[in-house]
Amino acid sequence: MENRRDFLKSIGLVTAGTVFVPSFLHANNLKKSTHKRLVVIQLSGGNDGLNTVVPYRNDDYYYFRPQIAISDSEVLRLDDELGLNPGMSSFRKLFDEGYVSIYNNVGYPNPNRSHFRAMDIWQSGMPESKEQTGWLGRYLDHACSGDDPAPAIELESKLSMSLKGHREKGLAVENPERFYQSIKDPQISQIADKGYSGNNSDLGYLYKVLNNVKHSASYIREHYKLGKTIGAYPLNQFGNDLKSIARMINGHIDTRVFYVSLTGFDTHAGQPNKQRNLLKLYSDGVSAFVKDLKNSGEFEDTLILTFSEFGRRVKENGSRGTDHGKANNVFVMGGSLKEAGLQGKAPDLNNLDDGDLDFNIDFRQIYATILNKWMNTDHTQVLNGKFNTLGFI
Amino acid sequence: MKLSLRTANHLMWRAGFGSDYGFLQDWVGPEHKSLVNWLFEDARQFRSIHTDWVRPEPNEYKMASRERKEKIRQGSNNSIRQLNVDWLGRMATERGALREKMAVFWHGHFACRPNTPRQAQTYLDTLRKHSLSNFGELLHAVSKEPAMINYLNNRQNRKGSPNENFAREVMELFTLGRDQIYTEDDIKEAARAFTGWTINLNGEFVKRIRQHDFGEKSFLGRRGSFDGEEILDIILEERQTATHITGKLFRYLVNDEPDHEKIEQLSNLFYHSGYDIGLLIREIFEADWFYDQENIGSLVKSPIEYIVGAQKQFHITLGGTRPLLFLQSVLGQQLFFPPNVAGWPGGLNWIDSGTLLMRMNLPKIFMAAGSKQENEDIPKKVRKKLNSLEITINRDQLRNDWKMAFEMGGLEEISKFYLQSGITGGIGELNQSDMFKAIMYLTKLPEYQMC
Repeated sequence: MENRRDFLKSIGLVTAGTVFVPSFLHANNLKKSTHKRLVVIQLSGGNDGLNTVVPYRNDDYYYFRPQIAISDSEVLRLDDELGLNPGMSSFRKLFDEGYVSIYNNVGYPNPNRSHFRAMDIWQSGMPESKEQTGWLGRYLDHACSGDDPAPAIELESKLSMSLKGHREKGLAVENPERFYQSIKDPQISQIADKGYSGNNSDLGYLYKVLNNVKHSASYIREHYKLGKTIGAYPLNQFGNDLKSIARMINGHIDTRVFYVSLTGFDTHAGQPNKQRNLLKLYSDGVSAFVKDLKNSGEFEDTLILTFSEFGRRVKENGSRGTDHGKANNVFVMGGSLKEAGLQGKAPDLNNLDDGDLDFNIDFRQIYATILNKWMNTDHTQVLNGKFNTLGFI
Repeated sequence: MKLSLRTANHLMWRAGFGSDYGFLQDWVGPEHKSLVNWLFEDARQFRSIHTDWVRPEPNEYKMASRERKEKIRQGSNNSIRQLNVDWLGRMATERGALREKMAVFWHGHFACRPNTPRQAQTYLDTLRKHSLSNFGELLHAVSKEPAMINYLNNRQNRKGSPNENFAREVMELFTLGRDQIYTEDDIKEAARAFTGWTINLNGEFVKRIRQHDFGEKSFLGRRGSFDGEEILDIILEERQTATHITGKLFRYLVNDEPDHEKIEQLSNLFYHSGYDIGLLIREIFEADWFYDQENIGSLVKSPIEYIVGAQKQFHITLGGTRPLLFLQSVLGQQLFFPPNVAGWPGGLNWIDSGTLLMRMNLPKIFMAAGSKQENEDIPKKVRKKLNSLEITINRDQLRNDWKMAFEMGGLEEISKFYLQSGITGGIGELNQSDMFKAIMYLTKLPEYQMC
């Protein structure tokens, strides 16, 4: 990590007595955003990839999963080898329209089966280190000048590691209206305006964060109120979150990254119904979201990345579930994909790594591709290494 | 040096979790060394924090049905949560703050996530028992804690197929510091010395002779058929260990901006005392420079300091296991659950848009105890989880404190008590007639986040 003094210098707080003036006070700038944007959907708990994109012609698959395998009559066929979980019919439509790239066998060397560690690894993009920043946070460090009112938004009450950089941080906005309300408290609002002119640099930083929050909150709300949606979103938190994002995007907010998660994928028992319902939720939500973005002409500038911290064991366990595993599939969606459809090899059930699927695509190749080709940033600056990019954009 | 409200408060924040106004007022006037003495005396006695968890026999667990196993796992997780809040309760409601304050430091230093209630209990015992005594003893003890053995994969460290995780972290994080003195070869050799350090079926630390590599090792320029203990002792012989630990302690207790000259002097003392932790921190608290303007109110309160400190300052007691864990988690520091082996990065890393707003609204939530009024400023999801927080306010004591402070020097005095860094521009515009509102305003100021 940078040292503290560099950090404070980088945000202009090292000279004593600096009074900062936010340079993004032009919140009335409601023009269409000039940046391409990324929407990340995190499936928390470890989604079982093998019952999401199903190798329905593979005998080994049925051998390993006598109770929870999805039969070839149930799957939504994608080609003569792979098909989707029956909960994913609306996702399948997106696939047919050429808006989806599916990568199987995505992982990294020496995978970790702990939820927390594995999630840290995916979020930091640095499996071998104790990095406490996220890959998107470090992207913000490189791409933003510090003046953007809302470069990244996570629809959560607490910011995850993904969006924490050394200098820049995304905003945790559980709900744009509430976020605005929380800063509307007259005392807090007054304190935010007051600013700080003393020589305690850490305290100066706190005032700066608060002041930024205030302006970001009005900025976000303004665009949120302006945006319109018509899609039929699932009536739950995940649906609401996607709807909020669509509203902000359609309201021309200039935000480069949105982050949202859907939880509940840790299916150690009674997996078939649970997972099917979750995947339906996911598919219906994404489908409504795409519809809204297509309507407003924003879909071409949007890329949607879906991942989970790990896949699950190939062999089912004794209670109609699966335990923690390794490699998994990753979905990339967008209105301007170069290579849509099924990419790379189907999962290889003959060559398992200690009972788990092995990986042949490093997840950082996907990150690198997005950084280089979509977000216009040299990925080696963000990922601490050079990775071969892929062809989806 | 004679203590003032400000310097007494400073010492109480850094050697503990702050204090109530009445306590501080009692110490205004005496020499600062007498309060330092009091703090050490207060923390002298060690009392274990117990879990009532009864571990099932290994065979019983093995044979259990899946549902039963799930029940056992839940019970086990609940016991770890209970230990978490019991420890938090010790910090807030009992004496011995200095011991707990240092134990929290060692928890972040020897960071680890215990897996079972028993692991959590013995790990916590070790941290608390040695928190003020001897660093060498603490290092040896914590290296044999089942929680640590498990967390840093030493169970997989066997003769012929070493796992280097523990050997690496013990030098990089626990003693010498990153890229100091040691090489990759030293890590490999040290890993060999720790082979066979593992946990038996009862969850206790054991050395398995048959898994231990008795061969000769070459480590930090020494040669011998070292075992794990000898490796730790060699590391302790290195001055760099004292420098690294002293520097980290300085940042925890004094100022986030290291003063290399002072750290050098202190680490000398630490090293030549044979790593006497109590002696080192007493030296810090007794030094006049500790009370310099630049050190007072210069640290961002950690979430634990914030939660415990507010309880002391407002005479409140917080209860309810789930909501207390949630509170720690939304503020970014959950005991027994550090982000990784490097511990919590601390300082400005505690602060982001979400945690700052949450912190600003918390005193209002605490003070609203008993009233059914919904706090609209807090996100709904958060509010729901905090609803079951059990808040007890000792209103008489709180009123007495405020009254005493007000008579002493009006709102100015109250602001001095709550805000260690002072307010820029003073309290000028504050409405003196609505004291409650004024105090709530003070605790919303970013200054309240500092200690």
